Amino acid sequence: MSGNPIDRRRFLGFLGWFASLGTITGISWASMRFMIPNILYEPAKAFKIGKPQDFPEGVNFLPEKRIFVVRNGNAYKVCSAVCTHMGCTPNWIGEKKVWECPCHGSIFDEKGGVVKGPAPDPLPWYEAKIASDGRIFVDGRRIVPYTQSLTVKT
Amino acid sequence: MKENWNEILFRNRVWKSIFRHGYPDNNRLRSEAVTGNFFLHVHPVKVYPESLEFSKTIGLGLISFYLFVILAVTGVLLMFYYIPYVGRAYQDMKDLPFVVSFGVIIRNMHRWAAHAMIIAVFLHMCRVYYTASYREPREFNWALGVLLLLLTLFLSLTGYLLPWDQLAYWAITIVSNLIGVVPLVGRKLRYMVLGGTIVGQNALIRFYVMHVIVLPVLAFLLILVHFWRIRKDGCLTPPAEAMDESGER
Repeated sequence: MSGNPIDRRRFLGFLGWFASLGTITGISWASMRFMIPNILYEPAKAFKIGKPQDFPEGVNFLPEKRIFVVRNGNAYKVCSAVCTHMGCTPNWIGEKKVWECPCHGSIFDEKGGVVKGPAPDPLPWYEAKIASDGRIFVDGRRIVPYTQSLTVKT
Repeated sequence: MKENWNEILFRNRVWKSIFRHGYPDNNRLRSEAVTGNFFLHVHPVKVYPESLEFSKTIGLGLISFYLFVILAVTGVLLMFYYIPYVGRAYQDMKDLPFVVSFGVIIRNMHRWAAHAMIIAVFLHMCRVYYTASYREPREFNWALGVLLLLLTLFLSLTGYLLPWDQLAYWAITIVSNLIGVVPLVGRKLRYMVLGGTIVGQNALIRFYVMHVIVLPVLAFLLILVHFWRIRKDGCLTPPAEAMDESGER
């Protein structure tokens, strides 16, 4: 059967390579996919907080969520309470209208901007919406500019 | 065409720097490919053709080894999701089939390979016994094989606790009570194995460390010596050696 372009030996050899490579590719892909978690046990990045009227005028600190809820009349803003330097919680100093970080002395102005280092970035503002049950829904995955507020009709 | 591929793939500096020889297309290079390879050099230099017949060994030793490899690889993958903490262990084990992609396959490969390895090792020892391969000069390798059987059983036992379900909990409770009735040192031994008096967090972490590090490393080392001794003891038993003086098998 030497006239055949593909004899039995070559065909079986090809089949063997095909099966081996297919198996290796499949196992590698499955193993890589295995390493990508489908669910997480981390704290949620998006969550509901209280109703708008629960928050008094000014800066409110929510220690469990590590955010500041800033109320200015009907306008609400939500700011991260994690210093962009090393992750400490800055304190709101009402008289000076700044956040001061107790760890390394970073100072942020009322818009979250860096007044004094070593913090490299301003405090981010998170998107806030009113959820269907009337509570404020904070989405920490969405960073919004300082100018954007949640306005609540009274 | 074929010559070209040979030229490109096997006759270049990169291939030679890794494999130290060209494409093994003659017998001398073929034997060099085995003896000069780190992973293959434990293989015997020569093998009796009749010992290679499938019915002589049924490949049980290699099957056991491949199951060990499967267990090592899937075990490492499982370690990425399993946390040996009493508050998490059961949940993590349940997450594998329900929320981790391919988790059900990886976990069941580990589980069934573990069962299969016990069976394969047991049948391998039967085969060695029936072919009289435990006789001189292979006595030491038989003893190593007995140790490997024990290690396989200990690996199975320590892995049994890790799902932290009722089956695991009571199985280890029973086994630790058995350890407790060893004469004289029983109670102290049980205290040491469990790291306490009950099957709790200390027992879980102890069994976990034994299961993922101590026993596999020991087993791996003994497997290497086991393979090396096969080679040193004159490869697989030729049928002639399996006969006694009267010529009976």
